[in-house]
Amino acid sequence: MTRSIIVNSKRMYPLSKTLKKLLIYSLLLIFSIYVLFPLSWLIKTSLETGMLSETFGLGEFSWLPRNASVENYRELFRMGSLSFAGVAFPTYIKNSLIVGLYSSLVTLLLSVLGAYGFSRFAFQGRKLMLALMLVTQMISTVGLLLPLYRLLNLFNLIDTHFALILTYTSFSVPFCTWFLKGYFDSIPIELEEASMVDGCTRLGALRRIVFPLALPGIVATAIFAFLRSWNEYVFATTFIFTKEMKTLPIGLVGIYSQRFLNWGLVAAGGVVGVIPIVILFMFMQRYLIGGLTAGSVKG
Amino acid sequence: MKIGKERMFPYFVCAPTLVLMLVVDFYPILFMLYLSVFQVKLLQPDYKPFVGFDNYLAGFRDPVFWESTGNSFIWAFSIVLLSLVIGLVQATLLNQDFKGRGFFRALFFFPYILPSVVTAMMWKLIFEQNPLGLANHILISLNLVDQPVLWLNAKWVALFVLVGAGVWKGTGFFAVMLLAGLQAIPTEFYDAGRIDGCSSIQLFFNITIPSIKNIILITSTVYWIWMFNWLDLIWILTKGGPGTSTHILTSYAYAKAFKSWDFGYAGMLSVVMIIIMISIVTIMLRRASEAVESL
Repeated sequence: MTRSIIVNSKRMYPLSKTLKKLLIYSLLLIFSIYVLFPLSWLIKTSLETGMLSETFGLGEFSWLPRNASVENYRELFRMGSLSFAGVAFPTYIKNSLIVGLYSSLVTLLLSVLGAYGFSRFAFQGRKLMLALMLVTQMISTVGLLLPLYRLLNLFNLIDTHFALILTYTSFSVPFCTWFLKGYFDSIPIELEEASMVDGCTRLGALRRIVFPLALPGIVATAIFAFLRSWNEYVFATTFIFTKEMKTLPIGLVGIYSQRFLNWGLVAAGGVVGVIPIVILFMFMQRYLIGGLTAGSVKG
Repeated sequence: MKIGKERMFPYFVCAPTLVLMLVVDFYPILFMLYLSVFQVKLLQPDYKPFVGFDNYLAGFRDPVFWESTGNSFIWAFSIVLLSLVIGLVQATLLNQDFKGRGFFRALFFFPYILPSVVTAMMWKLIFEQNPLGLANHILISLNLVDQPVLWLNAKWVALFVLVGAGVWKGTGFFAVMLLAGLQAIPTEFYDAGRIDGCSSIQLFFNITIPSIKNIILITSTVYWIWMFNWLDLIWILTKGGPGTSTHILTSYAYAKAFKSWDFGYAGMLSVVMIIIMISIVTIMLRRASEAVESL
């Protein structure tokens, strides 16, 4: 990684250097609070019990969790607990995982192939297709909901995970193809040509040469598609009716919209929904951020 | 034979993507165009007269349509502008020399990948009114207000809270994109500027900003599109309320389609949104024409 505008620190006077360090660290602190505070507030709330909204009055505010316990989490995972109209939280997680994994796999396959085609070949209709892909990003969610509902209904696919997998894949593919194309553009074409001279087929060259080199971008694509599907709410709530089929965001909103709003339980659900993302992000953030920016900075 | 196969190869690898796009993205546009010239209401399933531009004229006369269009613009542009400014500060900060830059880059980016549902809940929790939320607690204990502020019950306050949530989510995205742009600026530019006696502020405005102009435009455009289309945050936080005052076009169309079951009108709104978006994006990206050239 290049470090470009690190100011020529040798030429600076010690005082201004100290001031600058002070400024840097205070800004870092401010931004860390900015990011972490809402999250920590969520965690704090998730540890509080017995705070049905009606009873949580004005005088009871506190900065630290009152009656801290993990009761909310236990409640969340209790099989068939009343709070979720008979469906336990792990079911939602399982559904989200299924939909997320399948849609990111299919997205990956399609966008790697497509991006390779766009990056390496000049063919009729190439520019048009690339432009169309940008246009797909502008179609509003609501504009897609009705027609897709009709279409899926026609094939009897409403209320299946397949409906969600298909929809999420189609959202992610254009974006992922675009940024993978940028990634492939940065890999010298000579490497493949050499391997093809040595007897590789096209697909062989793609698999043996391009794929390993583009791995960071490819991993970024997969994570991106997974996150999009894991987080999506509107389509999931419109296409799925069966309780046992619903995904995590729907489950969360389900707890949230109950008659007696239990903030502790809602917050615990939010925390549980975020944990897989935190884990994924901790291991993959280098790829995700690197891949996201590498494709686009080239413009 | 070999040459023929080679020529078909790009079509072969791009075909699945194209088919998917045509079915899942372009068929809906046509279908919405079609819907928008009929009167289609779920409550009268067999009665579906062709009404021409009536839905469009109705929109023209509908004050909520104009209000939600205005809100859409206020919402999308203020989120992009604020995220851009804060993101630029974050990116400049991350481009300095200190320990743990990778960690902070990841930390700043993190809100961007959170589910909107969770973001909405965190925001609701902080701005809660009935059980006293954090924001009200702070205001009351500082004696700035006597009564809890009803954050989501007045148009401008509610919009302010919604924009806050969008900005919180977006700054990290801007930060990492702009950081990548900053790191691509050759150090020689700055050396040359310094030899010519530029101050840090002059360097920033005369070298840094022009060098990352394109990435600023592209990132802003992409984020603007996402914000203009974003539905779930508003839907969970206010549902367009109080009344219809915080509806943006997306939430208004959703409400028309799935609350009033007026599909023709919702179709019209979707068509209007696409037209607005394509025009704005064309204007915003004209400046970054190199990006389009490099197709």
